[in-house]
Amino acid sequence: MKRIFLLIAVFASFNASSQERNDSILNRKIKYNYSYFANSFKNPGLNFGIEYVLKQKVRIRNKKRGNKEIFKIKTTQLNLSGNLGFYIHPKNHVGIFTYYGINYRKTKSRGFQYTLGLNPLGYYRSFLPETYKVDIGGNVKKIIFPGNSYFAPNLIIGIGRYRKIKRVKTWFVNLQTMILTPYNANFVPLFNFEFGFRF
Amino acid sequence: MRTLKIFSFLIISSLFTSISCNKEKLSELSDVIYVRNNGADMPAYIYGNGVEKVFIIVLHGGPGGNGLEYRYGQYAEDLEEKFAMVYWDQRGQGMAQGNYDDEDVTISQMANDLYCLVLILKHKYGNDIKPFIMGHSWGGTLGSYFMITDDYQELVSGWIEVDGAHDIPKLNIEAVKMFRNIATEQISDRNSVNAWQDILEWANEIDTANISNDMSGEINTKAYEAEELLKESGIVLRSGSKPSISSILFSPNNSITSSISGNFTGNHLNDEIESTSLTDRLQLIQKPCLFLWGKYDFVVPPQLGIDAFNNVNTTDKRIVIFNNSGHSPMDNEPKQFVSEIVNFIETYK
Repeated sequence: MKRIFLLIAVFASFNASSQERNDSILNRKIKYNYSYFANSFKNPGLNFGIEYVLKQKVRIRNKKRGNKEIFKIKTTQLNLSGNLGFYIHPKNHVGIFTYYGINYRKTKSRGFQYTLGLNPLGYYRSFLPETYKVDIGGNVKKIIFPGNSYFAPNLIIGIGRYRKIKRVKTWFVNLQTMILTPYNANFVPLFNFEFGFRF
Repeated sequence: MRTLKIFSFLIISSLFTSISCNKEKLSELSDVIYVRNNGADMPAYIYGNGVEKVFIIVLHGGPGGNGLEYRYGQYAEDLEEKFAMVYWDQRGQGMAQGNYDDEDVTISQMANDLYCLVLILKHKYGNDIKPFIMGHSWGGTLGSYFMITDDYQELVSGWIEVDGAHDIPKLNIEAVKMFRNIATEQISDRNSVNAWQDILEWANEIDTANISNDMSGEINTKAYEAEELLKESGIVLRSGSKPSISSILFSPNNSITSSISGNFTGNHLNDEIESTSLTDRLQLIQKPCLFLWGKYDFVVPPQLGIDAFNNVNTTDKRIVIFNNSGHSPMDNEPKQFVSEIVNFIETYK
């Protein structure tokens, strides 16, 4: 009898937590995120994104510790993602970017998350301050909306934590390398930092 | 949601104070403008006192350096008190950006970029401004090329060359002579004997009639080692200034972007620079000239400054050899450096 009650209690608790998770962002097909974005770890900006779960795998393992039975749930997801953001480099330029790709995310039993993202489709546009050019006649003219466009694929590595509370949020920290090309006669990598929330 | 609001407020409020804080007060200039020319957008940061309408355009070294690395130290503060300083990032260096081909990375193209910069400064600050070009090291190569090209020099009031590398083949030969002479002196004075003996042995093996590009690079590296030895002996004075952490963190220059861009550009230019020999063409320069050189500059030996002084086609010229300086007299002897520049500009503005 005791064993039956124990089994019921275990399954009930599992169901309760999975019920929470079922309602949680982990099981949503579409997720949104926003983050503080720091270009070169110092130039401030914002980044907004959306993810769509392509594939999800949930693995449940149970372990016995003495009389207790503990369930460990690990989730891996393959997501389609898209982002739009900007940053300001004071006294130099403003950068606006958008990128699209896939990311792979693993969520461990305690909610810790690891993300690896590859975004091969990226676009970046710089906006420069006061810019002038000299025409063939030697006259100086001001340029309207000066700036340059670049192809900007990127690679993201991130960590985060999914929190088992009803209201929102998963936090995350990402390190990102964005390659701008053709930049001058070659390319240049930008190293960026993000801290944000997913919901 | 509240977090998002706080983030948005911080970012939007910074929009009003960032990018370009153009103060029109001439005595305290703090501007940034970009020069667009043949696929490149190149920033010029203007700081200092524009009341007298004297603008010193700083041509940075490298290639691969950037304009703002010349904006620290007592000499920069002192010059900004009296004049407007223009710290310009050359094509493919510093924060310069754009899209162009390898074929557009030439000294001639960069001289044309400088020509456009001068025209743009005149447009923005008035045709009555008095621009002076000040080129250091590789900036001396570029500045010399500018001064001998077409009628570019007509736009400026004077040319200041600081340890400028306007003749690389000659530079290498003179550097090897300097290594041999100075090493012998230092050994007899019992200063860092082992290190100088290594340098002397290495220098004695060089065939100065046949210096390859690789050897030229080796000479450049050894030059800095030799100068460091002289600093340890107190013969060359150490710089008293270092860039502050805030100037690094909040600088408009991004050191990673600048370093990577600069490296690519330096590599593109290398072959052209190694064969650049402008000494015989300096006679085309007719504007007032000031040559400032460190006595112990192994990177660009003082003989190049002496040759340049002898070759320019003007009587309005002066050469100063700083006795306790190496490649950067603005750092080694800033007070005298500033004094020479101020006197020169006051005479010819």
